[in-house]
Amino acid sequence: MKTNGLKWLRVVLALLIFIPTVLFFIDVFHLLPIKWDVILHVQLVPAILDSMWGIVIVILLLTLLFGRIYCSVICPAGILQDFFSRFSAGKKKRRQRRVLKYAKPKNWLRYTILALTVGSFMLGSSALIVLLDPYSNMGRVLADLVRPALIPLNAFVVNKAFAMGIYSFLPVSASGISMVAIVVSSLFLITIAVMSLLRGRLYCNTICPVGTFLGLVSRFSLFRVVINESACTHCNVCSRSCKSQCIDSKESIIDTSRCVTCFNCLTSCTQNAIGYRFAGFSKSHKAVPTVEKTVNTRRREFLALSTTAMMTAPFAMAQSQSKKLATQQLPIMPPGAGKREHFNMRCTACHACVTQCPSNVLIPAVFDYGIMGLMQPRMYYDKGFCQPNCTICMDVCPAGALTPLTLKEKQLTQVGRVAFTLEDCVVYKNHTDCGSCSEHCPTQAVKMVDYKDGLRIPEVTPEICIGCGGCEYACPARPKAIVVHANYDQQWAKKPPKEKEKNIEVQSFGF
Amino acid sequence: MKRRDFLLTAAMTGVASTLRFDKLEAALKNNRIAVSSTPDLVAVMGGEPAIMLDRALAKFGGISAFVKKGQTVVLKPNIGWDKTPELAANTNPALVGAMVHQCYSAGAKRVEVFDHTCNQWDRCYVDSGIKGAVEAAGGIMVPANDQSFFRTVSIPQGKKLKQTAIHKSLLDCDVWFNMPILKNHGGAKMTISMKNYMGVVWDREHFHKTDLQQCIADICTFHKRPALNIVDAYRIMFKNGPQGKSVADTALLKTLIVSPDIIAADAASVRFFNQVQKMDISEVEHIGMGQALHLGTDDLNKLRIDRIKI
Repeated sequence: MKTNGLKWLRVVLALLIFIPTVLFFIDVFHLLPIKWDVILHVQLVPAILDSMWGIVIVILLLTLLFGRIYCSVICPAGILQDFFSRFSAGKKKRRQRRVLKYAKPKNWLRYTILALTVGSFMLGSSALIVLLDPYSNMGRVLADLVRPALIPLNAFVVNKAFAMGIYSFLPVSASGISMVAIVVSSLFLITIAVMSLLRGRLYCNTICPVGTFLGLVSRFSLFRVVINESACTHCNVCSRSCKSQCIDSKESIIDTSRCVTCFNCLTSCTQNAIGYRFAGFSKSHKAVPTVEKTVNTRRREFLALSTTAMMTAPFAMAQSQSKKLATQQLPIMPPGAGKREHFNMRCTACHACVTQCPSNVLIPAVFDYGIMGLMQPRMYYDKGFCQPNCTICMDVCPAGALTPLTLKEKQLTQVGRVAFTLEDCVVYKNHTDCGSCSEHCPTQAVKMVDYKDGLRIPEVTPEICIGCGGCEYACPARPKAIVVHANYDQQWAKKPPKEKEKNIEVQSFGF
Repeated sequence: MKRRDFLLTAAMTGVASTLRFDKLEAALKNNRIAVSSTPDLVAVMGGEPAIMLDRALAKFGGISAFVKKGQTVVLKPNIGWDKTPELAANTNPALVGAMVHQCYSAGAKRVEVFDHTCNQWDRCYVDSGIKGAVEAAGGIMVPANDQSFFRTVSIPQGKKLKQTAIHKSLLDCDVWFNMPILKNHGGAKMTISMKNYMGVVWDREHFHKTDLQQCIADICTFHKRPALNIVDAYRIMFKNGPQGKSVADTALLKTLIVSPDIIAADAASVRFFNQVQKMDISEVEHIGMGQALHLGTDDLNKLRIDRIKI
């Protein structure tokens, strides 16, 4: 048995990125520091959206030099597919029996999906990126499927520890469970699971726009897996080991655009005819022959493509729907989102912010932002409110959808404005003291003023409100007497008048 | 029996029958044996928190009058807000730390500190400085942000609040101390010892929608009373309470008010507060309601008060 050093290097590097990424999303015990989010910044789509050109260039250079390392080492969805193929196939013998053979590239399909994704983004819709970016899909699988499943474990451990007088485990409560996010991430998970079990990296080489894009670059990669034609006996062993189905053993050709540099093939060859080496600047060792397609495959591709187009056209067209909604129905964007269009375009709905929000204020939107903003995070003040001294959502956003603000800036960022309905207020209805809203207001935009019979009632100053939702969360009335309405674009709140410090002294106790 | 003795005895009996045993009963409930020489209320002014606490406790016979060897003690400060100490939104951390220290010096087995906070609890614990001070003194910060830490109990004497869920640490401890900070409050008018009880319950919303003032008085009738109410008036918040906006809402008054009688402690605190910002005790309705529920007296003239200026 030959050792396959490159493959092991690939596996180790992949785990070094995959495990911290997964832990970041599912850390229900908050054991990891928030700074752990740097691991998310190696992902391509968020880096492009955040204009982190340094990272983008490094990934492109890596691809140009060594091939699609990104797909094998960096992309968490790619690595998950490798897990599926490796562990679900069972024993080694059965795995070898799994029939993988060379398949022709589905060029029309993959390039059309890439073109649609890029094109619709240029036209102002991020819907396809949200639905297809592998990192963001993985984020949602972890945030919306795995993490909620671990929360009962957290509760169990915390309560057992509590009973023993150990208070070092922090309890977390489940954030809002979003059906749409659960459905979409389940569909993604099932899709990649089925595809990887039956056809290896089929998802990466037909649907994934990132894979297709990197494939365009990796065609020209300097190092690549090549077959030494003179030594090749066309035995097909390498083809069967290739999860990208890109080795045409009969012709001794490897389709570099689909090769994800997993290096599984290297040790399969008994003739030492296959190797990973410098291949120079030629486009390809030998051009992939353009085989005449049968009518059958053409029709199948056409059907797949038209279905995709029909399903995605509404997303692409729905970009400006949110504009038509009345302000009262608009979802409130997380702080740092800035302009609504900017936020809707940049956010890939990876839900990193949703998992990290310590007060469970962020939940995935359904169609609140319009179809385009499906699953993007919105503020929801039912289970909590935005903490005035917290900037975590902005700090962890890898895509620049939430601009990191300083604490001072955040405390003046108005995501929405307070609105008070006297007739619903407890003080008005029950004629008893309350003040729950004002108590939670960090700016005193909600202030208690004299009402009657010694009671006090809220009075609002929306200009100084930052929209944190403390009042809405705390209001005991049903319907809520005090709520926050979204700003279309985020604004600066007016600074409350600065009060002068007085030197107060008392000499006696007063009793 | 001589006639003189008979008359004397009869007179004594008559006098004795007019005596009220509320205080004795309250004191017994408070896990404290009434010693005739101890005051009903001690007020200290002009020192640092730890020193004022030491002086006040000494008047009550020292901490060992309340904490016995091997006992589990709970301190309930106000840690409701994610604010730093100079903003006076939370109980002074030096005072809480000193109290932890006192309890251990009396031989306490463990001292636990918690509050059901309004802001994110772990931030409140840290930024208030209380976690640091408590842990430095060997105390344990207990979380209170999850319903599972609470147990439902009945409040038989409550008028509107008949039952509520109270934190297990408080329910299971041997003795507890109520350690509020003196603040103005937009809804309840003032937040002192009685209002501080709202941090031991899980469902605060119920208080607000039912009848805030009555519910505050009701929860204070729960049978497990604090051994002492230790009102931190080192730096008070006299407006924009209970959260406050800036240091301009606070006044550095370096005072401490301590009493086993929760009504007396709050009544004295309101009168003290009234010197800075006008506040009539009748406005703070829960104090009057508490008196109606026999929780104590706001008639300070009838009490033995020790005033100490440092």
